[in-house]
Amino acid sequence: MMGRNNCTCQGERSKAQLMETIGQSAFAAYDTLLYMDTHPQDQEAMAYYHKQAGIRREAMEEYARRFGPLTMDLIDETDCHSWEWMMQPWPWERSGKGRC
Amino acid sequence: MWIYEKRLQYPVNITKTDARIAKIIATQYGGPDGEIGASMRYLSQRFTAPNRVCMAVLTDVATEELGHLEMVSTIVHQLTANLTVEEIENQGFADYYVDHAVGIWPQSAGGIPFNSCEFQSKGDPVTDMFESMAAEQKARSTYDNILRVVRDIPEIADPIRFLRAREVVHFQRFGEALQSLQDQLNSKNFYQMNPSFDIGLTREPCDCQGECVQ
Repeated sequence: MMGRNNCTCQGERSKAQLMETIGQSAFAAYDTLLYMDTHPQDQEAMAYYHKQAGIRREAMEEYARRFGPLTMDLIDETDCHSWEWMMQPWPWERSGKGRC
Repeated sequence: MWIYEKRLQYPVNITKTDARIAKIIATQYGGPDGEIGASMRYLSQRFTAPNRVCMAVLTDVATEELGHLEMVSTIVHQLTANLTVEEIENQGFADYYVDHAVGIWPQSAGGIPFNSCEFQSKGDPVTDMFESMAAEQKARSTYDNILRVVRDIPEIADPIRFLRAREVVHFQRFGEALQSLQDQLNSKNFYQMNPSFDIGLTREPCDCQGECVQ
């Protein structure tokens, strides 16, 4: 079992903080992706895309390690013996009932 | 191919149920200008898009719309969670309830089921891009209509404002994609006559970034 699930140690980002970072960086990256589709030569925008995509990837990996995977690619990151993909809350659930 | 990401594009956390508002907002799931129609329209149109700008914009906007129909469904689901039969009757939801209880099903606010006649895929790139731009404005107008009803309820208005803002951005991107089509008009003037049917399907798609003269 993953003993520290839902636990936040000093200096660590909380589950909600991590999810907020993921939401913001993923949005910034995707909005920039749409812009790049019609402005493929804009180097400044491309650099911004890579920066935001990196923040997103790093936060998604940390979220997977500590709380559970948000995509299939991150299932391997999750340190847990139960099937967290199914156990963790689905996006329409308000109560956040799932856990390891 | 798509891979699911187990989160909403923008958070939805509704604590107070309201079946009357749920019915209104559900029209942006399966109604005439809803997110299902938006996503299916762009996913369908992209196959006869004649340049890489249009292929990319149609695919990437359609993908984001899948996330939007998940957000709208979540709003409707949370607005109808744990309703009593009395609340359902008093809040004008009985006609939906009798067929679906509180399950999510694509229909307009007036009860008309979703069907693909809500959108077009004409095989003519200029026709299709104008259709897509109009779709973004129609959806934006619908979100404006919804906002007049819910603007004093922050937990509903907030995600609706996010969705409205995305329609504005998508309209801008489709406008730029239309420009990429218009920039190709002078070469052989082929957009005047159903080009995807007459020329496009047997020809490699244009590989330039809006500057070719093929």
